[in-house]
Amino acid sequence: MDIYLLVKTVILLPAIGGIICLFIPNRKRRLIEIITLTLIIINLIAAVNIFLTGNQRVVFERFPVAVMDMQLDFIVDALCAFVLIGISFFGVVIIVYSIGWLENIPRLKEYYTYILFTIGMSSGAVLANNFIVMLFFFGIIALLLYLLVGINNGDAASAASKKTLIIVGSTDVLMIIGVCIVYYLSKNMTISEVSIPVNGILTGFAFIFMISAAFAKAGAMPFHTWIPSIAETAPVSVLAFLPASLDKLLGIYLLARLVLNVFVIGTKMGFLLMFIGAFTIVSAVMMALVQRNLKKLLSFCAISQVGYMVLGIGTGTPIGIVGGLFHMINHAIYKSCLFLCGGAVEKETGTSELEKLGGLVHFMPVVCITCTIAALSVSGVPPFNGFASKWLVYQAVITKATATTGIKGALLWLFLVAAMFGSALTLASFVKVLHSLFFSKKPSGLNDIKSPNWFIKIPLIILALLCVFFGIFMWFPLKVFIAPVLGGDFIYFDFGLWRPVRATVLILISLGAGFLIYLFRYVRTLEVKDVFVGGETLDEESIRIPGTHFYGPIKSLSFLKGLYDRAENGYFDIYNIGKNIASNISGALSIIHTGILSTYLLWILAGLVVLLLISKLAD
Amino acid sequence: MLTAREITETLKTKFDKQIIKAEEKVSNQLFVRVAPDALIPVICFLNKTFSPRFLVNAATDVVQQSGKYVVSYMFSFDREKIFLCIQVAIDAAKPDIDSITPIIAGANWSERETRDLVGINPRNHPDPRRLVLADDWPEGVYPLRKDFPYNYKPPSEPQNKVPLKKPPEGTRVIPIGPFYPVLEEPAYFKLFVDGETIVDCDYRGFYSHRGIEKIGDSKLTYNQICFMAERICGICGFIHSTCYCEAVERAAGIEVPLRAHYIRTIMLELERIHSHLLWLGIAVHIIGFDTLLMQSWRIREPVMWLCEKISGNRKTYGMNLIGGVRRDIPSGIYDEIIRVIEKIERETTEVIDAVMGDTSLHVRLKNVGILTEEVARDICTVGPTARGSNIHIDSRVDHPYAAYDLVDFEVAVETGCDIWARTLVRLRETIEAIKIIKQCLLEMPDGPIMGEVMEEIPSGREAICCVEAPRGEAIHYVQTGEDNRPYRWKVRAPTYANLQCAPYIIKGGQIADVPIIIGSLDPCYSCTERMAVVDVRTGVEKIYTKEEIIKR
Amino acid sequence: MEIAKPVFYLLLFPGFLFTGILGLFFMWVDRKVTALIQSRMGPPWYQCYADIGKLLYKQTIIPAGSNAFWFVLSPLIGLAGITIAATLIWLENSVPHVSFVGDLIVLLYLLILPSLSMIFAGSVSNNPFSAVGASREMSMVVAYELPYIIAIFTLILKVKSILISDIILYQAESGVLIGSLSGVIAFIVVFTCMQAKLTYLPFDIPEAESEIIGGTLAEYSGVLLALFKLTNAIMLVTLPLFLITLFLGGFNINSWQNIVYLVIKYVVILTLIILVKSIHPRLRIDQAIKFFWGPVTILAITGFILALIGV
Repeated sequence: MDIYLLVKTVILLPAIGGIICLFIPNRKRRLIEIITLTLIIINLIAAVNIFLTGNQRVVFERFPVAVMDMQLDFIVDALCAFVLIGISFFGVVIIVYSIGWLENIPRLKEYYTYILFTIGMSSGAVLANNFIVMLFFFGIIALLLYLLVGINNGDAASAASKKTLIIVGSTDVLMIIGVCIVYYLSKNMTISEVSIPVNGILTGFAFIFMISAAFAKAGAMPFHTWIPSIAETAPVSVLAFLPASLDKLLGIYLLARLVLNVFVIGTKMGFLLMFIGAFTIVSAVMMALVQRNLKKLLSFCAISQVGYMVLGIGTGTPIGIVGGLFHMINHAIYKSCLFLCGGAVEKETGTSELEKLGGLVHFMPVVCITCTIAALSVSGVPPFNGFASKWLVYQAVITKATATTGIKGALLWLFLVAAMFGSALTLASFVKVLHSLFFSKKPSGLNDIKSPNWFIKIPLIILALLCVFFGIFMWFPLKVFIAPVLGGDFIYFDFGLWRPVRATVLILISLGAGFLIYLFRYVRTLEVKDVFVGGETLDEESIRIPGTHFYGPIKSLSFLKGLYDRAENGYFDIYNIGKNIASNISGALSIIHTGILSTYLLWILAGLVVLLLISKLAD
Repeated sequence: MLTAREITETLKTKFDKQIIKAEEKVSNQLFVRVAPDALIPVICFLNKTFSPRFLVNAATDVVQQSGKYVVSYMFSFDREKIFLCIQVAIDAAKPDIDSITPIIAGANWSERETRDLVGINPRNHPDPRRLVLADDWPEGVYPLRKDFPYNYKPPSEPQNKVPLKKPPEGTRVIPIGPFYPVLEEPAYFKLFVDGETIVDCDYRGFYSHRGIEKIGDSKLTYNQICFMAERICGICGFIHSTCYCEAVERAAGIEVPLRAHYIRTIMLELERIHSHLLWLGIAVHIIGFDTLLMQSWRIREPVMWLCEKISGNRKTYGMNLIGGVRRDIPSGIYDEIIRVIEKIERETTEVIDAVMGDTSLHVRLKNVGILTEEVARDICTVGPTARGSNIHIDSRVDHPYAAYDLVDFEVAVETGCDIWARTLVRLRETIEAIKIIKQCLLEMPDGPIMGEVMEEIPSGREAICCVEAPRGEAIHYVQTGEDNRPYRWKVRAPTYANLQCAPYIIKGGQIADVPIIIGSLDPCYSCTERMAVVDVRTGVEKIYTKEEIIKR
Repeated sequence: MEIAKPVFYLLLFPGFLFTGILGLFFMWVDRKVTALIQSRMGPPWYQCYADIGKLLYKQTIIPAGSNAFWFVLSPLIGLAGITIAATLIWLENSVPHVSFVGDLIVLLYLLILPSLSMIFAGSVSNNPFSAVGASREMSMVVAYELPYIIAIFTLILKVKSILISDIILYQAESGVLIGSLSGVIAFIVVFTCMQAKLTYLPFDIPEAESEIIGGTLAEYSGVLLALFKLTNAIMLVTLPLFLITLFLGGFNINSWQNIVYLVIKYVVILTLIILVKSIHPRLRIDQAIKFFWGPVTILAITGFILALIGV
C-alpha cells in the first residue's frame, strides 16, 4: 500500500474519528464505541502495514510551511515503526477495556475523543522527522494528557491534571529551547540528518533539556510526581493507557531517538542517564512498598521500571539499548495489565484501598491469574517477559562495569546493585498487592462481588498471554522488533540450556510431576477444615491481616522513617519545590505592586534611565 | 521497727469506733475487723502512712453463723515481718462492697474472683468482667458459698461468654492461645496488632480452674489437704504443701521439730533448683535456642533422680504432714546429695558464663519486656519478676518459715527491669539454693521429724503463711473449723499476681517478643487456676472424690 | 529427541530424584549432629525418609476460605524452581558447554522461587499467623538480597564474567576465589545469606514455631507439607553446591578422587551451617533486617572495595 496513505491514515483517521465522536451525544454510547473500535482496528492494521513496508522517509511536499524550510517530514524506520504498532495495539486494548469498564461519566464522548486524538497525535509524534513537527504533536499530546487526566470532575482531579500539565508542559518548553540550540548548532531541522556530539556546555544543556521532556513523559525522576498525583483521581483506563503504556512508549522513544540519532553521547552523559535510571529504580520502589492505595502503588512501580529502561539505554551498548527498548514494550504490557486488573477490582468492589480488599481469588479467578502473571513479570521472575528484558539490561551493565575501572567502574557496580535490589523490592510490593487483593481473607464488608464482564477480561487475558509469550519466546520480539533498530549490531546468541522454550517445558514437567503425586490413591482426598487460630472463636474480620500490615519493620527503620515521612508530605516533589519558588518570587515581586501611581511612574523612569545607559554603552 | 501493737494503736487512734476488733491471733499476724464503710478510708490511710504490700483478698461464707460474708484483705509489711489482715463483714442479703482497685491496682483480679466465687460485688471496679468461672457457668451461682455442694454441676449457659476487648481501628487480632505451641497450659492472650507491633491486648485465663479450694473446704481433713496442695502445681507442689502446713501449724499453735524444718528447707531448695533450670530451658526454647534447652535439662536431671531417691517420687514428694514431715533424709544420703548439687553448681556456672557473653541472647532478652519499678509495685508483682525490677522482696527473709532464719544466703536483685534481669535473678538464685542446701546438711540436728499434734485442732483460728516459690510468693490462708477440718482454705499462687502485669509489658512490643515475655514471668497456670479434672478417655468430667485423689 | 536428555537430567539424575534423596540424607546428618551437640542420641538414619513417607499418605487438608488451586500450587512453584536450579548447578560443573551468558543471574532468580512459594503459601492460607509469616519471609528476602548481590558482584568483578563456567575456569587457573581477602569476605557474606535462605537459625523467623505456630506452613499437612520439606532438602544440597561452585573452585564427578573432594568440601560447609544453627537463638524480624542492612552490607561493601583495588 501506498506509504503516504498509510501515514495519513495513522495520523489523521483517529483525529477525524475523534472529532466525529464529539458530535455524537452521550446517550448513543454504543455508537461511539463502535466507531472508535472500528477506527482503532483500522489504525492497527495500518500500523502493521507501515511496519512491514520497511524503512523510508515520507515527505509531504504538498504541505510546505515556509518557515525555516520546514516540511511535513516523516520517517519510517525500525524504531518508530514498532513503537507505532505498540501505540495502536494499546489503543485497541484500552478501548475494548473501556467498553466494558467505563461508567457513564458525564464527559463520556470527550473521553473517547481524547483517546482517539491522542493515538493519532502520538503516531504523528513518533513518525515525525522534523523537530517543529514533532514539537507540534508533543504539544497537542500534552494538552490531551491534561484533558484526559482531568476527565473526572472535581477539585482533586483538576488539581492533579493541572500539576500534570505544568510538569509536562514546562519540560516541553525546555525541549523547545533544546531544539533551538540544536538548530543553532546544526542549522537543520530534520531529525534524521542531525547528529551532534555532546561535548560542551551548550550541547550538554541541549541534551539535558531535551531528555527532560522525555523523562517527564516517561516518568523518570525528578519529573515523575505527576503520576502518583493522578493515580487517585484519574480513571484507571486512562492510567493504564497513558502513564503505563503510551507515555512510556513516547518518552522512551524520544530518549532512544535522542541517544541514537540526534546526539552522540560520551561516557559522561551516559553516566548521567545510568545514574538517573538507578536512582529512580530504588527510590520509587521504596515508595511503592509503603503505599496503601493500589493505584498509587502501581504508579510508583511504573516510575521505578522506567529506571531500568533509562539504565539500559544509558549504557550505550547494543545489548543495553535492546534491553531498554525491550523493557519498554514489556513494561507497557504488564503495567497496563496490572492497572486494568486494578480497574476491574475497583469496579466490582468500589474501592482501591488495599486495607479494604481481600479474598477476591474466589470471585475473580481470571483477574487473579492475569494479575499474578503480570505481577511476577514486573518482579522479574523467570520465565516471564520482565525477567527477559531485565536480564539483558543486567548483562549490559555488567559488561560495562567489568570493563571500566576506577571510581566510574565502582559507580557502575552500584547502579547494578540498585537495579537488582530494586527487583527484590518490586517483588515485595507485589506480594503485598497480591495478598491484599486476592489471597487474604475476604473482608466482611465486601459482598456480592461478581466476575467482571468479557470486555474487561479479554484485554487482561491478551496482555497476560503476551507476558508469557514474550518471556518464553523472547527471540521473537527481539529479532523482529528491536534488533533491527540497531541495524545488525545486535547478534542474537544462543542461550544454551536456558533456551526459554526448553526451560518452560521443564518447568511444566516439574509442575506436572508434582501433580502426579496427587494421583496416589491415599492422597486424593482433600478435606476442608477450619483454620487453626488457637482454639478460641474469633470474629472473621478481626483476624484478617491485610497487606497494609506487611513490612512494618522496614517502614519503621530509623533511617528510613524520616525519608518516608518527608516524601509523604511532598518534600521531594519537584512540583512543590517549583511551586514554592514561584510563589516566593511572586511574593517578593508583589511587594513592588503597591498600587500607588507615583511609585509606578518612578519605576518607569528608572527603567528608562537604565535603558538609555545601556544603549549608550552599546554604542 | 514498727510492731503489730503500734499499727493497732495508730489505726485505733485514727478510726476509733470503726475498728471493731484488732487482735494478734498469731505472732506477727494482725487481724483487724473493720466496718464496711470504713474500708476505703482505712486502706487509703494505710497506703499513705505505711504503704504495705497488698497480697490477696479472700471471701469466707459465714452465713450460717452470722448471716454475713467476711472479706479479708491481706497485706504484708516486708521489713517488719508483719502480716496485716483487714476483715470486713458484709450482709449476705446485699453483698456489695467498695472496690479497692482504684487505690491498689493489684487487687483487680482478687476482687473479680471473690465476685465470681462468692458473689461479693465490688462497686466502682474498673473491669468487672468474669474472671474465674467458665464461659457457660450460669450467673448468680456462686461455688464457694457454703450452700453450694462441691459435686453439683449447674446447667450450661453459653451466653455468659466473657466479652473481650474489640480491636482498635486499623489493628488486627493475633490470638496467642488457648492452644499454642509454647504455652504448656491453656491461656488466651488476644493481641491487637498493626503489622508486627502490638497496640493493645486482652487476657482470658482460668481455662483449667479446678475447684481445689472448694473441696478443701468441704470434704478433706487437714492431713489430706497436704497431699491435695502438693498437686496444685506441676513443678512447685512442695511449696504449696509446706505453706499450707505452716499456716495450720501457726493457727493451731503446733510446734514443729527443728529437724523437720531443715528437711523442709532442703526439699524446698531442691525444688527451686529444678524449677529454675526447667525455666531456663523453656525460655531459651521459646527464642529458638534448643541447644541450651537440652543442656539445661540435662543438668537438671540428676536433681530429679535425687528427689526420687529421697522421697520416692521425682516431683510430688508427699513428705509433708501437719506437724512435720513423714520421711527422713538419712545421713547416708548426705554425700550423694552434696555430690549431685556440686556437679550442678559447676555445670550451671559454666552455663551462666556461656550465656553471659552471648550477644545474640542479649539481643533477644535485653531491653525487651520492660516492667518498670512503679508498675511492678502498683500491680504487686512478686518473685523474680519483681526482683528483676529492683524490688527487694523475698518471703524467705521477710516472713521466715522452715529453717530460713537459721541459714545464710543472699537475695538476688537486679535493676535491669527487662527479661535479662529476671534471667540473672533466677540463675543467681539457683547458685544460692545450692549454698543453702549445703548449710542445711551441715547444721541439721538429729531428733524427731514429727511434732506433737493434738487430737482435734481447735476451731476458729486463722493464720497466713507465705512461702517463696521459684516463681514468687505463694500465700495460704487457713481458717480452722469444726470436725477437725478447715473452714476456709485460700490459696494465692505467685503467677496470679504476676500475670496481671502481662498486658503492661506486652503493649508496644512486637509479636515475636510476646511468648518470651510471658515465659519470663515464669507462668504456672495450674497454680493460678486450680482446675477440674476431665477423664479424657470417657470424656466424662468428674470431680474426683477424696479417696481417688489421695491414693497413696 | 532433544528434549529427552534434559528431562532425564531434571527428573532423575542429577535433578529431582537424586538431589532429593541426597538432600534428605543430609537433613538426617544435620539432625544427628545437632543432637550430638545437644547431648542427645538423635534419630536413626532413615528418619527423614520416613517423615516424607509418612506425610505422603496422610490426609491433605485445605483450610476453609482459601482457594484450593493456589493452595496446592504454592509448594510446586518452589519445588520446580529449586529442582531446575539444582540441575543447572550439577550440570554446569560436570558437563561442559552447558553454561550460557547470564546463567549466574538466572540462578540467582531461580533461587528466589522457593522463598516466593513460601510467601504464597502463607498468603493463601487464610490464617493470620501465616499472613504474618509471609510478611516476615518477604522482609527477610528483601533484607538479605542486598548484601548477597553485592557479594556476588565482588565475584564477578574478579572474574570479569558472568558465566559460571568462566568462574570455574578462573578458579582452576588462578586459585580458588576464597583464597583472596575479598573472596573470604564475600564468602562469609554469601554464607550468611544462605543461612537465611535456608531459613535456618538464627534466621528461621518466618517459620518460628514458638512464635507464630509454624508461620507460613501452619495450615499445610500431608503431601503438600512433604513437598515443602523436599524443597528444603534439595535446597540443603543445592545452596552449598552453589557456594562451592562460586568460591571453592567448583567440583567434578568424573573420578573418585574428585567425588571425595566434593564430599569433603560439602561436609565442611554443612558443618558450618549446623554450628551456626546450634549456637544462636532466633532473631526478631526487625533485628534481622537491621543486621543484614547494617553490618553484613558493610562487610559486603568492604569486600567489594577490596576486590576493586585488587586484593
